[in-house]
Amino acid sequence: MTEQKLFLERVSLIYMAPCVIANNNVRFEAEFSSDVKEVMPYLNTVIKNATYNPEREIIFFTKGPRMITLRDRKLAVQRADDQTDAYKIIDFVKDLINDTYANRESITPSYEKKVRTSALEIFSYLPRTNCKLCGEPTCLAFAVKLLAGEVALSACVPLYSGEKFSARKKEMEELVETMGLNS
Amino acid sequence: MEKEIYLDWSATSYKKPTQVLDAMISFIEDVGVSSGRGAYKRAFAADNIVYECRKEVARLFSVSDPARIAFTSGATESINLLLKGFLQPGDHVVTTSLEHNAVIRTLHRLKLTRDVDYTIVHCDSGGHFDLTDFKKSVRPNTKLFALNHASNVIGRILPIRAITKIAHEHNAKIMLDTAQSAGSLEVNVAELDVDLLAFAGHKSLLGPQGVGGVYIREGITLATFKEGGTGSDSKSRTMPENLPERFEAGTLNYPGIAGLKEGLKYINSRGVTSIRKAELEVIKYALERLKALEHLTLYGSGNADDTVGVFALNVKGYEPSVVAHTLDIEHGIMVRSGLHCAPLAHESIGTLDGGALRASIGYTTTKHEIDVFIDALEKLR
Ligand code: SF4
Repeated sequence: MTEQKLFLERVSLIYMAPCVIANNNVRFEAEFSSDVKEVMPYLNTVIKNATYNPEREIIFFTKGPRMITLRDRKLAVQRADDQTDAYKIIDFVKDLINDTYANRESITPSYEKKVRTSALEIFSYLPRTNCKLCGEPTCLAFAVKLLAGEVALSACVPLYSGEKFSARKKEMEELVETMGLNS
Repeated sequence: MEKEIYLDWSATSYKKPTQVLDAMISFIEDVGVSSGRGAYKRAFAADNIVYECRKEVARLFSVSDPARIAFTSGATESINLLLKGFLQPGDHVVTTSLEHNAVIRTLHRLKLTRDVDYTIVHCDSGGHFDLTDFKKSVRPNTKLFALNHASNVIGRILPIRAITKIAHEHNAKIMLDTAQSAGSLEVNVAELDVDLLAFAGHKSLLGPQGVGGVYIREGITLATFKEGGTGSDSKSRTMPENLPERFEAGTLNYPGIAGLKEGLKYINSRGVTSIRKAELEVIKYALERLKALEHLTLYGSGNADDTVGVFALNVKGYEPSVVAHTLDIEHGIMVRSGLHCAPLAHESIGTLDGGALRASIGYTTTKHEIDVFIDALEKLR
């Protein structure tokens, strides 16, 4: 495998901020040295818990509490422990992509759209105030319906009013888009 | 006088590989900034260098998680961090007569201020330990064995695996000082079963002065040694729990770490086994030639296999400081004299009063340099 040229030479950290959904955690973004689109169908096979949206070309999966999204040349991660953890995840994703690409001959690519997210994952992004403004008794109930495609994200009133949840809203919109759910 | 010969490698390696200097210059010139945390790309480049260095350290010690490595200003700070962070009032420590003052003085300070007690296991004049002495030193409150991997005075390599076994049989942890071994001897924390480890960046790891670090085994929680900014969880009045941030308050020595990274890369790619093999050749040769000089007293085991490249000796009829000075002035040979910050080791070998001369080799030392050193000693009859 070392003989082959690596698919990704570099993955550079470009942004880091406190996590919007968990205290004391960080979220970060990193840039791939090449577009990872063509590896996605292979990753979709390799990553057992992947959520894959072939139309939008986004892959989402979790590793422990970390929520990892790959899109074009961007890696976005929520709920990393800290900066060292961020570098470890970058290494992990880089190796995963490079290894998958190197072994692509022996992997059957999957173009199937898959949603492997739990309501709890969606719930963790919501304001979690149980304010009932969406018409649901709790945020968790809202998350269940969102996942089932019965409601749209925009029905969560606090998420769309004011600055307070703006970072969360952005992440949430990306997640919803990845899943192909109603925004 | 031929060109200068440096035989003080156990103090600091010199010269460093050029890539070490290049990395330091390039860090200051091209990166220059401090840690980022969401700030800007260049700050992330700085952090990335630190992480890459952490990975190289982890690789050297066969540590699977680089987060268990924290950087310090050197082995002395590392030892302070580990001992002061681990030991609680009432604890007892087993240590050895070959320890550096970084261990002995820290333990003694804890004895005076924190009701920590320690027992020193003595070796014979060859640096040999009777393992039953370690067993006999254990008390019900023994929590730690603090020892070096190899002596900075006589170069003697300690039987770590056997000592670790004794410590763990008695539920005590092991703190290993690798100042004289890391980079020239294999140090595998899993194989040696080490719990806490201190390393120096500027010796056989070929980095600059002012950088070192610790390894802390997963599951062991230490009190912090210093408090300050970590760039994370800033609202909290206490230091974060997670490693390495917990032990890296303040701005790190970025240029030093950039240099150390290159030193480690060199060592890891060449392989410690091959470095040891090459050094062993020179050690064997040096011992052979030193032993043949009958006007000289050579301390330590005299056996290359249990020795790193450090030799303690005295020339009959001369003060060691006079010998060191003569070697320097007349032959351009740099060696040390005195107690080398390890008085108990000198007590063990019987040189506490006058001290000894210490010559130490490194990864570029040649047999020819040993010849020049021996010739110079020959002249001191
Ligand atoms: S509107 Fe949003 S915050 Fe309020 S209960 Fe519904 S999901 Fe939760």
